[in-house]
Amino acid sequence: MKKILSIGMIRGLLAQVVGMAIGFGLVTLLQTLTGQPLKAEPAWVVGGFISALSFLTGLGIFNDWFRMARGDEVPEPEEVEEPRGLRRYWGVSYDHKVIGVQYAFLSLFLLAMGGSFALIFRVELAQAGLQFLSFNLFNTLIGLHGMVLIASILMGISAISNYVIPLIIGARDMAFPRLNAFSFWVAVPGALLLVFSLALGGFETGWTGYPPLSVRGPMGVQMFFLGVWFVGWSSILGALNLITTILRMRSKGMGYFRMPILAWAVLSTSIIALTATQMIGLSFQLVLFERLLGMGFFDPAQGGNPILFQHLFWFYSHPAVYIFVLPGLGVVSELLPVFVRKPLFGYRWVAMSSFGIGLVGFLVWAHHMFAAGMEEYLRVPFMYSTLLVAVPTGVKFFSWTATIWQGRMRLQTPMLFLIGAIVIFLLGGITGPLLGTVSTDLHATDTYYVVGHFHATMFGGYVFPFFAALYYWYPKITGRRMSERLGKWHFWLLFIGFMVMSLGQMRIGLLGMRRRIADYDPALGFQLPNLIITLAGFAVALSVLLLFINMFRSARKGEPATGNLWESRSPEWQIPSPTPAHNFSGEVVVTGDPYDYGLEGAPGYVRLEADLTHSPQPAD
Amino acid sequence: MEPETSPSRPDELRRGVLVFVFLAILTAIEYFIGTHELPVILLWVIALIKAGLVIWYFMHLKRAFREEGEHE
Amino acid sequence: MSAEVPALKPAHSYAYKLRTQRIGLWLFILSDAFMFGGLLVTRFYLLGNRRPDLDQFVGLIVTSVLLISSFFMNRAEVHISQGNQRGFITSTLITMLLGIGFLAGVIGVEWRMAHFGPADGPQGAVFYMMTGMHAFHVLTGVIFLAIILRNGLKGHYSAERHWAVEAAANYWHFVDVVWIFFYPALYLIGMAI
Repeated sequence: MKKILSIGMIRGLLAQVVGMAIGFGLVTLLQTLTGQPLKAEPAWVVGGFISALSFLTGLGIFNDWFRMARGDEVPEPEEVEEPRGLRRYWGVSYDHKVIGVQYAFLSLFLLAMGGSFALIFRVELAQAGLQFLSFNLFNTLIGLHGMVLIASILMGISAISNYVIPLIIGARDMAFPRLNAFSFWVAVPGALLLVFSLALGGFETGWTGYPPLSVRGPMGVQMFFLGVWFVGWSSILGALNLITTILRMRSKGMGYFRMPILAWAVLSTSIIALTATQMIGLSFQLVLFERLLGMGFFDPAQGGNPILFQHLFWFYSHPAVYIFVLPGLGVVSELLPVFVRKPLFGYRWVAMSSFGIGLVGFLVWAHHMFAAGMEEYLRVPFMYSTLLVAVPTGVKFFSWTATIWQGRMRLQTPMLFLIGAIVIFLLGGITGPLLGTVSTDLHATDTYYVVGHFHATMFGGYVFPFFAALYYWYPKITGRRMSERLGKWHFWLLFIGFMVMSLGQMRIGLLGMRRRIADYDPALGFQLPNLIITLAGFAVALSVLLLFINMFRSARKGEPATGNLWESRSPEWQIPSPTPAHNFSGEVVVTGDPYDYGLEGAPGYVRLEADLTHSPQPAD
Repeated sequence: MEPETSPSRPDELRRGVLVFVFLAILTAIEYFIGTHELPVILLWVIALIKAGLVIWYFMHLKRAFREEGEHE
Repeated sequence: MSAEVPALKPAHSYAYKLRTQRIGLWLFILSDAFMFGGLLVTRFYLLGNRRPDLDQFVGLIVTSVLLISSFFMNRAEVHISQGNQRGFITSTLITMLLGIGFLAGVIGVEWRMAHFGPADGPQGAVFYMMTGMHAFHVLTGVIFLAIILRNGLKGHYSAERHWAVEAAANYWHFVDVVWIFFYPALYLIGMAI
């Protein structure tokens, strides 16, 4: 028993159950004592809130902070003794590499879960009529599919940034290792609460949680709000940490325009995540309180206005897609030069384009509301700002094509995924203006065309680059590389499956298939396309299964790869794999430009200096 | 308790008093504007000035930009 | 693993880390400011040129209390940065008491005196949410102050090393800045309904 309880995760889960019971009991007791009618909803909300805090307390993430508050000395995060082996991944660790892997694990877990939700409702949609889902369950599943995968994407980009950013800027760790561990762990109870909404009757609103539906529907939506709230904190604090790390922990000689392009992308993404995430938290919080206390924010009968919710919500949720894609596009720009052996074309422009997308991204949110009864004078300005996003995105595309141009391309698995990312993101990009333009959007809004467009941007901007990053940095984490053969199967199955799925969705969308419906009229003739989309969806799922098999098998049996496998100039490949504790034994000094591949006589990007303080006899 | 190496001591305390007096006066003006139906824009301007004073003098915004972060 | 890793030389000096922590705190404040900004947007979107009907006198009192507390907070920080432990303790204590006074003023007096509840129209929703969120931040600020007061009594802070005091002070001033905008938005702008 003691041995089991020494695992932080298990302590946390037990504490979460206890916390839920305490919160629920407390509110019920209070209601009984004050003689009010017993209502379950406040009890569940308070229980859910306390349960997440109990998870974190049980896990022990607060221990050091409590010690600090008491005025006790706490060790430097680097010097904390941590359990060895796989055990340390199931509890609090302050090592950015462990946290990065934890993030990746959670991300892939949520990816599998959110994907399975999609498979369930795709089976339902494969033919007209209602087969095995109820309307409520269908709606709950599409909502959870959306939000669970958003959480998965947030965890995925945190995985890449946490593992890779300190390494590529030549730092030993993140700026705030304790906060880093907290940002990861606060997402775990958040994700659990999100899924717990299924047990409380689900919710009908889809992932957007629009009132008035979210005010009236079953109370599962409250757990959904709470879950998003906690995952949001993970995102905010992680972003805070990444910005500070990139500003303060760069190695000697790494001026801003000698940073790896991924660091630029993560920096601009983090600025959005730091600020805009507050708005989704606030909008959901307002609905939460409207349900609990009858506060009339969004109820027109009480003088409220549901459009306000959409403004607050989209102020985050549109920039959120840039949070998702910017690191992915950064990965593409980061890895392309390695695989085509040429310098990145237009480094400064690419670096600034991430910022451009981030800034313009703040000014476009209302294009989600063209058909929502929003103030009419807002339509045209938001149309123009939306189309403006194409400019910095175009800069990236020109850079990629010019980088590939006349390069000596190595078609290894990560490179395949990079090409897939570029092609699919292009598909997602060129299907966008039709939705950004008011006149056409009024026809295509709320159809499957939107679904197809959105999934193309997510797969091109996040999923494919994320998989490329997995294949690329997997040897750095494990010291073994993943199977190329399975990797190529994974790629082709995913690429073709996704193309069929996305183009099929766009087609039936333009023909008039509505989104978010569990049933459709067979006379519309969408049966066959829907069946094909479902089958393609299963192909996508199968390809991800191949990835999981590849990862687990290669961890033990993969071909050892401890050196500079991809012949990269980046600092993380100048040290052995798996990455040693504390990353670099000495100081990292930047001596050249990051992407000078294939140039005669170009100086190396970094020089690793042996640290004299580590030698057995101090030199003095 | 009082080392000779702090010549700035009276200055800093006096500056705190000065800033506070400014803030108090501005708040009084705000109250007057608010209760006498004067242009609302004045209220915003005063609020911005007050916030600027607090951020600059009490929160020491410039410390976040100074290279080696010593106390004053 | 630990056997082969000798004791590490700290990568950065205390002064360097201090500025890193300052940047971290400022980023947090920036993030939080967006949430309060969202509340202000909510207030003007729903109420526009109207405002909740509140007691002007109480509003002025609580605003003054918070402003004075900010003054003493600054004094506390200046005192500790000059090594004056006594002055630091006194000023921190006064700040904390004023903070509690503010909470009593808003929650104990203003909430009771208001002739509408949270469920009474947009003014109820806006007023209770804005003051509630702000009061929650004041409460956390009071807790931070209690922590630095306790550790200060034990003599943990010196003129050279008092990041915790600076952090608590900056957070406290930030809560004051928020009220600088909330006060006119709730009490002064627009016509009372």
